[in-house]
Amino acid sequence: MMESSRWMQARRNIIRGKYLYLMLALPVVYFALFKYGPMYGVVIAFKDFKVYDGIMGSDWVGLKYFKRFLSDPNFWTLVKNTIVLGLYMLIFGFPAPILFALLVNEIRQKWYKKTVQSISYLPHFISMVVVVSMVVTFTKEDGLINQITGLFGAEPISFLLHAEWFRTVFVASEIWQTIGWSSIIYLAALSGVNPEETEAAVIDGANRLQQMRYVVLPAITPTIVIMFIMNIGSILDVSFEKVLLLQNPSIYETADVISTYVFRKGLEGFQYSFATAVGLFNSIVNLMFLVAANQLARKFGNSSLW
Amino acid sequence: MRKSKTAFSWLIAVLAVTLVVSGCSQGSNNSSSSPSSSATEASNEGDTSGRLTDKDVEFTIAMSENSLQPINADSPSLKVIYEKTGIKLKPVIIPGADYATKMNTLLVSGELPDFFLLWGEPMDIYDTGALLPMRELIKENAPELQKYYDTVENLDRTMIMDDIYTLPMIRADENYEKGTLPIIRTDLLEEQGLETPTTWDELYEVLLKLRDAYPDSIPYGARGDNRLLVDTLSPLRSLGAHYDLYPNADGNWELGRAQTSYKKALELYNKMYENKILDNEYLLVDTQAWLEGLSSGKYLFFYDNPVFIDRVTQPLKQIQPNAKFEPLPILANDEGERKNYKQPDHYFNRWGVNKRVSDPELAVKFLNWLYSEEGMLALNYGEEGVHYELDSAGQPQWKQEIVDKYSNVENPFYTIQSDIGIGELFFTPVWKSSAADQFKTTDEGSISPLYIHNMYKDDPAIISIPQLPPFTQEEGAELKEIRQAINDYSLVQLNKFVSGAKDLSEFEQFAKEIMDKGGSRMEQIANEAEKRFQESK
Repeated sequence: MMESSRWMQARRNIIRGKYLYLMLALPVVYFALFKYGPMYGVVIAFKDFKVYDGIMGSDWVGLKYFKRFLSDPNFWTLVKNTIVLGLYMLIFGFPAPILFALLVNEIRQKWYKKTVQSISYLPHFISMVVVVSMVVTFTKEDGLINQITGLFGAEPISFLLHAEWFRTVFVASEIWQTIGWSSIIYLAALSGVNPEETEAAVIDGANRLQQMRYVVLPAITPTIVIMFIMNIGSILDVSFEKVLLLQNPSIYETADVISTYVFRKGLEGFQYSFATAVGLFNSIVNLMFLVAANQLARKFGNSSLW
Repeated sequence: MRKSKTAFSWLIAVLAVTLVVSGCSQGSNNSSSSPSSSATEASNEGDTSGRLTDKDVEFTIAMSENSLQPINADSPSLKVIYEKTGIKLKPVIIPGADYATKMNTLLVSGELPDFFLLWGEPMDIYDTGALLPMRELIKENAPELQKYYDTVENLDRTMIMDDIYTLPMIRADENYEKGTLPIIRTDLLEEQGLETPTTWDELYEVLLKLRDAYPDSIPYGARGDNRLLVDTLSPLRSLGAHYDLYPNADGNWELGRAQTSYKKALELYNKMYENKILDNEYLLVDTQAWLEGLSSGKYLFFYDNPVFIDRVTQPLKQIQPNAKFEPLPILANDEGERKNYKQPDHYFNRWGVNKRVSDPELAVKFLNWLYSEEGMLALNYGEEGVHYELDSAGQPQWKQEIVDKYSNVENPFYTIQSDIGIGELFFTPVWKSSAADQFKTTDEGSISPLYIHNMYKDDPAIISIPQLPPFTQEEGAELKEIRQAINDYSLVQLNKFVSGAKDLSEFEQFAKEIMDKGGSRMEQIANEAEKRFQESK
C-alpha cells in the first residue's frame, strides 16, 4: 500500500515536471553516451590490450602498466611539468579574465566596451593550429617579439628552443587566447550586481576602487569560487593540442606533459594499455585536486560544488 | 524531500537505461566491426567472364595523399579494376602528414580499411593482431605474388614469424630513386667562383663562404631533426654514421647512435650550428616552412629528396632568375668513404591486409590480379584503348590524344597520374616508374628522376638500405619497449649535442646510458635473429 502510493506520487511528479525532465534528458544522454559510456575502456589499463583480441579477449595484467609508469625515468619530469604548467595557469590564467571583466565593467562608453569585448573574443575562434603557428612565428629569432625587444637592445632569442621560456610562452599565449571568452561568465555575474548597493557605496564616499573591492567583488565571489574549484579539478588537463604543437625535443625538459606523453606512447607508439594507465593516473590526480579544493572552499568560504 | 528523492531515483534509472543502451550499441558495433561489413554484395547483371567473383564486392584501401598528386576517388584505374575483377576498390583518402595518426585511430576504433600502406614498424602493427597471415593463402591462390617471394633477393627478410604479413611494392623497371642527396645552389657557387665540393670538409668550407657572401641567407636548411639525426635516409650514412641498428663491417648488428661514428657526425653538425651554417631553428621548421625557405632564397643547401628541386626552383626563379639547385656527387666523409643509402632496387613501400577482411581468399586472389600484368597496366597506365594502347611488341604506349591533352597543362606528370589514378603516389603494387616519363617537365635545367638516375646509376657509393632479419613476436615486443624507453631520451640529448647545450665530451656517457637502458639488448636480439635467419636458409 505504502509502496504503491510512493509510485503514484513519483508518477504524479514526473507528469507534473515532464518538460523539465525532457530538458534534463538531453544532457543526461550526452553524459551517459560520451562521458560515462567510454569509461568502460579504461579497463584496458589493467589488461595487455591487443586491438584485435578486443577488451574481453586481452589478458589481465593488473597494475603492471601503472608500476611501469611509476618507475618510468620520465615519471617525475612529466608530473612536475604538468603540475607546474597547471599551477601557472591557475596563478596567472585564472585571475586574468576576472581582472579583465572588472576593467571592462568599468568602461562607460558602450561602443568602446563592446569593441573591446568583441576583439578579446576573437582569438577564441581561431583554430589551435593557426594560433600555434602564430606563436611560433612571433617567437622566432626574427619574429615580432624579438623585433620589439631588439628595440631595447636585447639579444634575439628563439624562445621555443629554450626550455626555460616554454612555460612563459605557453601561459602568455593561453591568456591571450582565452581571456575574452572566459570573462563572459564574470561579466554575466557582474551584471547581476545590485546597482542600489553601488549607489549606497557612492553615497558613503567610496571611490571606484573601493566600490570594486567592497561591493562588486564580493557580489561575484560565489562565481569565482565555483570557477576556481572547476579549474582546480582540471589542473592537470593542460591544453594538450597546444603543448603538443609547441613542443620539440629540445624543450621536452619543461614542455613534455602527461597528455602529450600519452599521445606519443599510445597513439604513435601502439602502447594502448600503458597510455590508458597513464591517462587514468592523470584523471585520479585531477579528482584528488578537485576534492581537496572543494573541501577547502567549504571550510574557508561559503561556496562549494557539493 | 521525498519528491527530490523520487526524482533522483528516476534520474538514476534514466542514466542506467541509457548506459545499457549505449553498451549494447557498442557491443553490436564490435560484433560487426569487420571492415568489409559494409561491402556491397549485389548480384552482378553484367558479363562475369574473367572476373574473380560473380558478385559485386567492395574492398577499402587506405591511401596516403601527397599534395603533389591529389587522389581521385573515382579514378579511371579503379573502374578498370572493377570491370576486370568485379571488385570495387574504395579509397579512404588520408592526408600524408596525418597518415600515421589517422591509421592508428582507425585501428583502435576497429575501422581499419581492408588494405593499407604500413604506417609504422611492421612488428608494431603485427603485434596489434591487425595483419592477415598470407603465406598459405598466397601459395594456393596467388602465383603472381609467390613468384616475387621465390625470386626477389632479401624479400624473405620482410616475413614475420615465418609467415607473410606484409606485401612489397615491386619495382617493374629500373630504380630511379637514389635516396636523399646533397643539393646546392650551383648558381651561387659559380657567382662566388667556388669549386664543387666533393667531401664533407669541402662542403663545410663552401657553406661558410656562402654564409659570408649572402648574410641574409642561411646556408643549410633542414626540416626538423628527423632528417638530420634519425632517418635512415638522412646524411648520416654519408657521414659514416647510423642512428638505429645497422650491420657493421663484420656483419654484426650495432646500435648506431652509440658509436664513435655518430659522435663524428654530431661534431660536424655542432660546428655547422655554432657557425650559423645550419639553421639554428631547424627544430621549428616543418616541411612547408622548409620549402618556403628554399623557394625564397633563404636556404642555399639541403640534404633531402631531390624531387623537391624542381618544386622549389620554379618560384625561386621568379625572384632570382639564375637560381639553380643541383645535386652534388656523394660526399666523402673524413675516412674517405663515399656511401649513400637508397631504397632497395626491387621493392619499396610495404603494405598489409586487414585480418578482418570479409573474404581472405578472395582478397588474396585480388592481390594476385593486382600483381599481374593486367593489374600493373591498370595502375600504371589506366584503361586500354582510352589512355594507352599496346604496340606490336606488346608494350603500352600512351594514346596521342592523352599526350596532346596533358602536354599543355601545368605539372603534367602529376596531373595525369592524379586524373587517371596511377603511379607511386596513388597505389601501385607493381610500379613502373618510367610509365609517365614523357609527361615529366622537360624545361631546360629541370632535375627529373631520370636525370638523377643517370647521374648516379654507375656510382657504387649508392647502396640499398640494409634489412633487419625477421623477429619473433617476443623479440618485436621487446624491441618496441626498448625503443620507447630510449628514443625520446636520445632525441633530447642528440639535439643538445648539436646546439652545444651539451658538450660533446659527454657523448661517451650518453652512449653508455643508451646501451645500459636497452641498447645492448637490442644488438643482442638483432644478432640472434640474424643467426637464426641465416641458419634457416
